[in-house]
Amino acid sequence: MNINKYPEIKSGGKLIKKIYVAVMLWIVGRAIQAASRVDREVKEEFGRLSDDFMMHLHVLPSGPGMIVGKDKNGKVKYMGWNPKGKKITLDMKVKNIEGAMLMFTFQESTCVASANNRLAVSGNVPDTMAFIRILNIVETYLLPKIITSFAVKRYPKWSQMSPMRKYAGRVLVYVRTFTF
Amino acid sequence: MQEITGTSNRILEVNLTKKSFSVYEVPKEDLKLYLGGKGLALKMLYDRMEPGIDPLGEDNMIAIHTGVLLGTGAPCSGRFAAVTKSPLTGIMTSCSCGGAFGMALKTSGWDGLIVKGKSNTPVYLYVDSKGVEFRDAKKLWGMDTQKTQEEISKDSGGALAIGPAGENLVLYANVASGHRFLGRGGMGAVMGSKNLKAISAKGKEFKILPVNQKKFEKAKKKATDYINGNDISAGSYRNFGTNANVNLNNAGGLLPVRNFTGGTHGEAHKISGEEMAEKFKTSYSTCKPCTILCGHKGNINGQMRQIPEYETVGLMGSNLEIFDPVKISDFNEICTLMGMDTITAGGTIAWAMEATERGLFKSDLKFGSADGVCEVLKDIAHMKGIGKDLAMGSRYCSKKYGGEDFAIQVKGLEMAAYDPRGAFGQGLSYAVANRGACHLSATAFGLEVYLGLMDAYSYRSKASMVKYQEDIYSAINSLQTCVFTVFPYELETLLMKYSPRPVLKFMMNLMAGVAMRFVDVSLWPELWSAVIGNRLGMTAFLRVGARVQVLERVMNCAEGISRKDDTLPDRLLNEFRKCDSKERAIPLEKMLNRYYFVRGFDKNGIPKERTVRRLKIKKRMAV
Amino acid sequence: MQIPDYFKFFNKTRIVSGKKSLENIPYELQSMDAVKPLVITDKRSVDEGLVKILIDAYGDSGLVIGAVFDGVTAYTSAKTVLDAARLFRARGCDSIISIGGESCAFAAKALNLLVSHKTEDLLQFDSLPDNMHLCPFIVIPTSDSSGRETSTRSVIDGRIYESDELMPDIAVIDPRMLKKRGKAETILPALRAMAEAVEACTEDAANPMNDSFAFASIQLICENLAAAVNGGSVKSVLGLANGIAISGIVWSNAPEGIGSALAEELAVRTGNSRELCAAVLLPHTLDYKLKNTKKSVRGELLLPVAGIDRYCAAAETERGLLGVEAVFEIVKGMNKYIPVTLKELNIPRYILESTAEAVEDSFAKQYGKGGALMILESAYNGERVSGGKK
Repeated sequence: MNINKYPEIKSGGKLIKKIYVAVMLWIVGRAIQAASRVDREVKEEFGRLSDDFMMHLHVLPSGPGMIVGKDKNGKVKYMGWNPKGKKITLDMKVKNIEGAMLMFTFQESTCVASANNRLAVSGNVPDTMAFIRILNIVETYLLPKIITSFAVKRYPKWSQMSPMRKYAGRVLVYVRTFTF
Repeated sequence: MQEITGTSNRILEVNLTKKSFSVYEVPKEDLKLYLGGKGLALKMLYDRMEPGIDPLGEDNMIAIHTGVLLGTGAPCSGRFAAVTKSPLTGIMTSCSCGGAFGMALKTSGWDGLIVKGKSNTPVYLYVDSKGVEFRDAKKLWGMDTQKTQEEISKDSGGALAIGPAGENLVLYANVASGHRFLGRGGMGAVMGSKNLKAISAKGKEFKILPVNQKKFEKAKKKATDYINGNDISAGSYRNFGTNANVNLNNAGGLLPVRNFTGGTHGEAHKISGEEMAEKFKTSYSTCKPCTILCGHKGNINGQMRQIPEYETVGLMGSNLEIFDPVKISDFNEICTLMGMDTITAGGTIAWAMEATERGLFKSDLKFGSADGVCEVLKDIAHMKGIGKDLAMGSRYCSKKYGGEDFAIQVKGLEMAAYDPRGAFGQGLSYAVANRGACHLSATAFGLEVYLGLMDAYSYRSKASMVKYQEDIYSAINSLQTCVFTVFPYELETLLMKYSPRPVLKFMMNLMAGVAMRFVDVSLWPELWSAVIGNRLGMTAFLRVGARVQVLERVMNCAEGISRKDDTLPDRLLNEFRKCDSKERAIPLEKMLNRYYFVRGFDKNGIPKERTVRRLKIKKRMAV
Repeated sequence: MQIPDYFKFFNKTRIVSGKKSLENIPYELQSMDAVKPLVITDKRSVDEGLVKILIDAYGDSGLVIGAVFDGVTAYTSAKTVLDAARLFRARGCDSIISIGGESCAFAAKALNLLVSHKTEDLLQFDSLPDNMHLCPFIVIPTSDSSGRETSTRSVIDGRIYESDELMPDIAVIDPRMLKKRGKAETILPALRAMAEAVEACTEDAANPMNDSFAFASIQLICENLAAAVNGGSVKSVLGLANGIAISGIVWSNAPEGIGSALAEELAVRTGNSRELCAAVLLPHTLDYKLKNTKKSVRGELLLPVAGIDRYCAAAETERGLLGVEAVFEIVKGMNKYIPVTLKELNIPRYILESTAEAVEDSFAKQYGKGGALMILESAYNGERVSGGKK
């Protein structure tokens, strides 16, 4: 048998998908920071979390990521993508870039993705739940209803989030996200 | 001496259970549709036998038909056909054989013989013009094929006999008529299962005359001229026997080497016909009558022996990596005396050697070593030790011990000595041949390698070519003459002889189906119609061939044969010969689809009702 | 549910099924400390582009596929396995992925034995212990799969190697790997898998764990078979593949039944595929069991075969009989595409007798003498089994 007939196969890259996810993560990360200033509910959720809370959401094995955590003053901040030198309390891993693509192109909501075993988490489960709730609210702010309804489990009703609060919040979040 | 003009059309129907016989007159229509020989023998079984019976049981029958040419003195007509259900493959097997028995049966006034039932004690049949005598064969039981024939030939002109292998129900036991055999598929075991040791015929009671003497003489002269003028029939085969194929196959990469792994071998010349002719100082020992004279005998180790035929040399020589002609002759002699098919025996031993090498089977057999082969052959014939398993053939052994990928068989019948990876058309022909991996159903390698008229490594046109060859061979076997007449009768015709080779090649490669229609095959039907007196055209002759082929297929399909069985062993499909650096694989599926189409079979390989109806085959069994 | 006095149940295979599940393979491999798998497959899977899908799914993982060995043929021989083992070592692989039907999985399991024990001799594994340390092994079923991929068995050169450890660690069922096949090719493996699951839950020694797996398998197959044959939505094809994969686990945990023994023997003797023989014999074996044993065919069988409505509508005592009828219905319904009697296959009678004889001895105690032949006879004519024990 000629062994050379069966070459080694190196895995190819998925650069474009990675860039897309990286951009989305950046926006979401900044938006969380913005929402924690703007929205009362998000503020409360963060308030309930411990003071050294530091969340790392990233794609395995080498994919893009984002870190959101509280700084020394207890303020929620987007802290870039590099976990080096940071004490991560909640590590959320998307198992592969395709899973991340499904989530960030809103084909699968966060809940469905975790049900489909695309996420692996090390850290507190209550913290994770809180974070997913935050994520849902942020997505409501960031995206129009038609898209958000794909991405979240339940789109908030009028009683939960009045249009006034939603639209005003949306403007503020966007402004805060894209201004430095 | 009494005379028979044309043919007697009388068949002896012998019932071994009741020890009785009756006479069956072949209807005129059947004679026209099936000619005789293999065709009629098959038709007689088709009418009589139920599908699904045990080949070694009482219900199996043997049909022998001598064909209409035998006894008339037509060139190469010293042959007869026998058909039965094979215990080795479980489907129909048809054999053609030379030797004195055919002539003796025919000149006793019978065109054929059907043997039914089963005797309680060993018997042998003595046939003369009055009918059959059932004679006690207790004394003959245990004797080898040659001794048996000697014993019972004292008051007869020729005999058919089985050896110990047939008595012990070795699944590939054969039946001897002189030094010629009803070789493949285990007809000897069928006779053994019926406790029928031998059949002898008195002979020389009748003279056979053709109806149209003048036409017959003319055709006969033409045929003789063709044979004497052809390079293959009057050259290589006449001088060196079928072993002339060894060098040709070695050059073309068709030689089976080391259980079909090689294709060529540096020592192959040692077992070639040319070398053996010189070494053993050979002389003729042939069927009678014969004009080609391919059979030879020679002085081997001080004994006058029959020179092994090419298939024996290929399967028991190069395929076992044994290149000593004396050793091969020893194996051949044992098989001759015990009454065993050398192709299947060789193929099975090659399997055993490889299986031993891989640790799947326990034996002392080794490639390249002749030690122990003789003992194993004897053990097989007597069903002793490992012989018990090997007597069942390589399909059974490989299913029992593993190693199905290198059991070189199709439908249970071991492959003859042409490696189809060097001639793709031959691959198709092996896969679809009715009795298994048989080389006599269509000799595609002849056109692909010997004559070089077709591209051996292409699948184009192969289906039409194989169909054509099958038709013509079946028709020839129904006359019956030797299939080697195909070389002179076709190649010496004007068109084939004087057409420029490139034109022939072009036509054959692109549209074999059309090209074949221009080949003049009129000599065979001329001979038949001169003997019988009825007109038989070329197209009708080829149609008979197609009819016989499809009839046999219908009977096989009734035994469960379908596309799944039309295949080749794994080794031939997925491994490559050592001599083939380009690693070309046989595109079997493509050729198979095309073949089914040109044959008029459905996708599953079952003859369509329309095909059967068109060929005027009476519907009898569901397929 | 029936609980025998003693039983054991073993399953090591994790099933990962669904959209984009192939992409999980690098993660799963890494979690088993493996980084360089050898892919073992056949030519058909390569031609259909299945291997390419796997390679694409590997994208961005940063891992390397040691090699793709595509030399597996329908009959798995030791030579193939040795070739693959040589390749495995030359490339320094540490895990195995098999794509394709049972022959690929068989070769992969045998390969695992060789490379994990650092040997070249497969024949030394006469009897296998249940506590070997084998390389991580992932099976990716395709449309060729018969269910044996997830079983404890490997058949090489006609020899059986069996051990709990031979079960794959993970079976990844991804709809992209389930290409559309001809109708008969879809039906036969499914019916064989169903035959095995049915056989397992109608044995005297059936245990509740295996029953639940068997019922799941039967239900998945019965619910999705018709849909998968006619058109085939992704969901039905995936359901069918899951049913087939589960049946392998069920089969491994059940004693050999008379039906599968007969089907195997018949396939060997006639050259018909095992799938076809098993499918034809399925309802007749069940019918025979119903008429000849008291407790083997339980009413519970009706639920997965016919669904909750028919189950609830049937009286408790009639459920067993109706379950058998429902199986007959399913198999006969496929007659348009596959033969459902042995007569249609033109199997000679003498082969039926010799097959029955070969199987008879192992089951005579359980089902009485002549049982095997009775099943075959009724399958030959396509009629119901008449009478009880001989």
